[in-house]
Amino acid sequence: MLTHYLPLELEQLQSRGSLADNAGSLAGLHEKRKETLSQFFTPAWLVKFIWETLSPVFDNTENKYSLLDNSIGAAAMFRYADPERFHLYGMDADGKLVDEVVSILDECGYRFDIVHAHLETVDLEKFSAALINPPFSIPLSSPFLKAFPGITHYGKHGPDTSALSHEYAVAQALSHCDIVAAVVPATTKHIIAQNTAMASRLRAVFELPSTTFEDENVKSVKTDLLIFGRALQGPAANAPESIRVKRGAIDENTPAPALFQLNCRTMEEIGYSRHAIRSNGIEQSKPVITTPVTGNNTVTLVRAGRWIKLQFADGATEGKVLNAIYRNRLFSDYTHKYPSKTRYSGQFQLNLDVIAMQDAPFETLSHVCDVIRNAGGEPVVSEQLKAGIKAIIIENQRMGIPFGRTVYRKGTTEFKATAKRMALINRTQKGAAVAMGELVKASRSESGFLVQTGRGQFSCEHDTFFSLFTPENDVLEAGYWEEVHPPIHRPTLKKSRD
Amino acid sequence: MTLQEAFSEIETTSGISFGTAMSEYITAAKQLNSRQEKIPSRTVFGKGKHLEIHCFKDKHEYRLSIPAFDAVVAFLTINGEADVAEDILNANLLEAA
Repeated sequence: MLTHYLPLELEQLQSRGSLADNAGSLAGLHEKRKETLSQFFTPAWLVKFIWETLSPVFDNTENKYSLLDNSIGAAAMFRYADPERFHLYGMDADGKLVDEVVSILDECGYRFDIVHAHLETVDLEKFSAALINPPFSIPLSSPFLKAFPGITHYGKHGPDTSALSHEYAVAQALSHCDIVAAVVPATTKHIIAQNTAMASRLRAVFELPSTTFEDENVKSVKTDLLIFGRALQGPAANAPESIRVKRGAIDENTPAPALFQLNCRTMEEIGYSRHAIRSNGIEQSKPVITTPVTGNNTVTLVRAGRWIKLQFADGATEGKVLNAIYRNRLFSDYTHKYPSKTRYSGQFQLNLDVIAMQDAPFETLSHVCDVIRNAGGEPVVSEQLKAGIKAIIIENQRMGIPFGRTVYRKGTTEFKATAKRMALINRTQKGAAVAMGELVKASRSESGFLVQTGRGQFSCEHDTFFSLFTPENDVLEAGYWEEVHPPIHRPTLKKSRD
Repeated sequence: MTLQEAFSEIETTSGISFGTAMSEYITAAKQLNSRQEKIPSRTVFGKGKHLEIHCFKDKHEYRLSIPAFDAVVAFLTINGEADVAEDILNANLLEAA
């Protein structure tokens, strides 16, 4: 029984294809591809069929697996991925959709790496399995295409720089994943058959109904579900194709079949990579340092909230000083996650709380100045920063003063009480007995009460006292405040060395 | 004052009931005759109550629960010789009880 894990918000996302005019056929799809990016989401029944077919592979609940979708869309292929067991990887050409998917998954406890990137411009690591429904028939042209015989062709950038999107997506998934389940145009199986390496990994070819993408505004298209496993070794490699590859047509009611020798490696076996999907090609990011180079190496340290802000007059100095202070970038990985704002190993040198909590805060500040000086800057500490550090030191000292403890006690400090019965007040003191109806004087002590009887004064525990004596009525209604632990008097705050 | 009367007084003022051990014990003693000169060994009167009387071949033991022992000591402290209660406590009979 499969469990649907992905939030329903993802189901409500609509593909570009479903919002476009009716394409009508595969040829029609081709016409619409510029508008739709060939984005058509996979129907729910087909995703369920794929997961039911692959579920024996993921049977061991102890293991963790990595899943890839190189055209992730609304992440529908990962509907049944348990967040505890699957790390999701994906990319998509539709940046807006990627942003929406990322924000939804972020709130659901998934570990995932989803990037806005095109199929042809990424370098991938290894993954356990790929579940893909790539864009159909989009011509890819890039000097960064990875060469796959029979898939990539001579293009305008030279040999192996051109390919069809769905063929390239399958080849890419196969070269990086142990198992691949791909929804592709029906013609793809002929391309696969011509490639010995790919064909030998084929485990199933399921013809899909031509109405599979009807909900996505495509009335008729011939598509297949291809399932690939790992390359077979030993005697299994010589198994006849009729045993090795399951073929047939499926629909919504077809039960999931068992496939020949289907298994994949776990994340532990593959190894965790911090950059499982890397974009190549032209770097789109903007420069971090935009300060012009002036040769003025003054670095002014000012206070900005709880941090020191460094003001630079020279871009080159800014780069050198920030590199020296920040030291290196911290990345959360599979085993350890840093707070979102902890990005550099040296960033807390600039934190005023950290500085204020040192034994000698201004020596710590001068250490920061040394770091700046050694990196080629000339630090100038503003008076505003010095005053800020002093204020935070005083604030921390004030916060270090513990609260006092005052309690409300019922009764009075001294009162009379009557013994309910004859008993021993305590066993350790001579003559500590009380007769029934005897009137005694009681006063509070640290451990309970001191009871004055005709035979002397005896200590009595709090609970024992109330089991033996009934205080006077007016005492029961009275009450008073007692300071159990007085607050420590505000010390003379230490003056920090300037 | 007999022992039974003393126990009765302690029961009244301390709120503890010693049970039927004493009356059963007295009844059993009254029934002794030439054919049965002793209460059979290992006979227990008032089992599980604040006072248990255990009869053995050569001795009869009065076993008091801790609250009952406290009540007896308190009674002796108030009504008897103060030294008697102290002697009892010093003899560490509390632990024995």
